[in-house]
Amino acid sequence: MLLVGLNFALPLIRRGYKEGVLYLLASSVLTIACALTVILLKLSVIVVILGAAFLGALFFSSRSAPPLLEKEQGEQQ
Amino acid sequence: MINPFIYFLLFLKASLFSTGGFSNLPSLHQDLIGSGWAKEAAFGQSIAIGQISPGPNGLWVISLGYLTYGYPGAFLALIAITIPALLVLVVSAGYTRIEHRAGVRGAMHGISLAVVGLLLTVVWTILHQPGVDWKGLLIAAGAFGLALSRKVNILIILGLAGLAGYLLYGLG
Repeated sequence: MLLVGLNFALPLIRRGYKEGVLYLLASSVLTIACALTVILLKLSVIVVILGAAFLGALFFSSRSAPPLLEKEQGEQQ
Repeated sequence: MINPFIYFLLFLKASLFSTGGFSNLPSLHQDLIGSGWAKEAAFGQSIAIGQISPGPNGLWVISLGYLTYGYPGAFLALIAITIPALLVLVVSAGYTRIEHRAGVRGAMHGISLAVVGLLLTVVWTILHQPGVDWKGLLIAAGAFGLALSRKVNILIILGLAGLAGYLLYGLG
């Protein structure tokens, strides 16, 4: 399970490094916030995913990295 | 008693809000464990089967369906993971027009990050099960280290974990 999570996280971490420290920090905060929200507040997973999509659109939309995102999605399959 | 319709809807919901592979795991874990229709072991076993078997990783869900609800479960899981793909075909024309928009890319990145966080919650939940002790953690850490190296086949890792379990629990 941990390995599955790590395989998911690695492309995102690589992308974060490429985009800069602020991007990496924001990504880490969102990831940890999602985990804590489910563990502590017992919120529904779907609510957390929709919230993350909204926050992602809000905070990560100013940057674009098409090749990386496509590669990242390919690795997740 | 499993309600087949609700069971199917839980799988469909998880598949609809996932990005492929194992990303539907957190939703299924929360819903099926919460409803008492699955045990933690079923998740571990189905993920192992998904990793060993050929084909896309997303097919692990069919194993989970079988382990929790037999052949009907496997069938319902198969239908549930197929429908979103068909929907994608239908909406793909519209999506190709918006997929390059910064907002859509940002939303997809947010979902990917959420999936990582939610997978961590699954790990957290498993580690806090009553049956987990130092022996189990030792085996898990060893298996994780071997899998991380990517030099050892997963079947060998499972075999070694089984042997370690026999030595630590069977003889101990």
